[in-house]
Amino acid sequence: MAWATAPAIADCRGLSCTPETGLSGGAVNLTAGDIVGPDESGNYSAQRAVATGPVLYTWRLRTPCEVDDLALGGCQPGGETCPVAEGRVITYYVVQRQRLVQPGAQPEDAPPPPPDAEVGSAYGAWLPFATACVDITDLNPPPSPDEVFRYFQTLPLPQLTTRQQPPGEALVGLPVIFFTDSPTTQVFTVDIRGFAVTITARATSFAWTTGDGTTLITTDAGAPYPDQTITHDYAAGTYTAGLTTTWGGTFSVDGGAAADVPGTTTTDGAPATFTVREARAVLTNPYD
Amino acid sequence: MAIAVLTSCSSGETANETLPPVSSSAAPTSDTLQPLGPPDLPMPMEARQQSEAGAQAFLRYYMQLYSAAQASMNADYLDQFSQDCATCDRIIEEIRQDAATGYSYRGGQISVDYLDSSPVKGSVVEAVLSIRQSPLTVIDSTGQPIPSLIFDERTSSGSGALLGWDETTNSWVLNQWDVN
Repeated sequence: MAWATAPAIADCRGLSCTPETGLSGGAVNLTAGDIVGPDESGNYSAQRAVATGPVLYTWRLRTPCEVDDLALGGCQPGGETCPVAEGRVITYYVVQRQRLVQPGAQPEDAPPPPPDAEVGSAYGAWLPFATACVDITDLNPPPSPDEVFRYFQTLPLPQLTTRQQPPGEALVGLPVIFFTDSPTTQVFTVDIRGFAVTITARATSFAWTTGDGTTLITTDAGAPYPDQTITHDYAAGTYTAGLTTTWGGTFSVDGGAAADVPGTTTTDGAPATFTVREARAVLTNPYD
Repeated sequence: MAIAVLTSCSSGETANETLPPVSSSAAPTSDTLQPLGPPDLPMPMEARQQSEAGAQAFLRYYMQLYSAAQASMNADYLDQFSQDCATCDRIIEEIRQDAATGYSYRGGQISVDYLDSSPVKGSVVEAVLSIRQSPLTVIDSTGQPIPSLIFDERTSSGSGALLGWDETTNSWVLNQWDVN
């Protein structure tokens, strides 16, 4: 079928595609401002205003994934660590800058702009400036995915309780059913530097430790009899079963579009202890 | 007659006993370089000079290749002469996916209205160019224009490009193309 092979590319072609302004993952355009640094630690700082002198450049702060893998989108963020400071937003960026047309002569190292270019307009290539941690607090950017993830890890996520059937004691040869009836979705609204961030946490994976050395990994929370999906056979003995839940989530800033939280966290629920007994056949007289 | 010439040479100056030094930046010739590019649109020798003029000639050639790629729906040479260039990769992917779907292009030819550059720094040249793409229509496999893929003329003034010199092929390579 023809439509099965239709290209999964944007509805534009060639130069008709708008320039790559679809910033994501915490990238920032800094059209008026400056990047200063590096400091003694090798870090830079983004400022809303140019301190002194003519404005020579417009700036762009992009995540490494945006630079390395813009076309294919398979890049996994992370791997770079920046200093964490209370109340500061410090993020790892590829810093690029584009020249602005100057009144009169251009800087010596700059290629000349087109003759019809207006003074102050951007021209030429986005030139590499630095790849480093940049303090962008002064720009008051919306929370980045990484910043939201740091909050996500501190949320009071539910600790899902392990439930088992039959309740109380179980029998050898009769599989024990596991499930949890605790909530597997929870919505939080948090304030991050004045931005209202709604985080929807969802349990994405369940690790059931059965107590006999087995761990069952599932993507559903199980269900009680007769709809059970998670069962385990035991030998006689006393066991303590537990549940570790992996949480993922999405977030939106000030009611905007939802985006994935770039990471997961786990919670451990209260364990359940039960005894599995060996049932033995006993002959009885039905007429007794 | 030969005697007369020798007499003339020997008057006043001493002959060199060694050959003149050969400059390491001597311009390559078509005799020493493997041809690059499609047979019907080979890369001009001018574009294979490691100089500012060579980089500009290469960039003009790349735009010609882009026009040709849209006409033939073959982006292999665009791919060959670009590296780590996001805009190039996007354009190449568009052509290849459209070709695989049976689409073709009508129009979309590129003309260069302005081109200048910085001198060669190391092996890199920073170029500024203003280009124009003629109206472009994507045609489906039945020969019909696709309504959502009809585009007006597009001009881009003051776009930028970074080019790097490839020692192995004696050619420039487009490393970055930022369309304003």
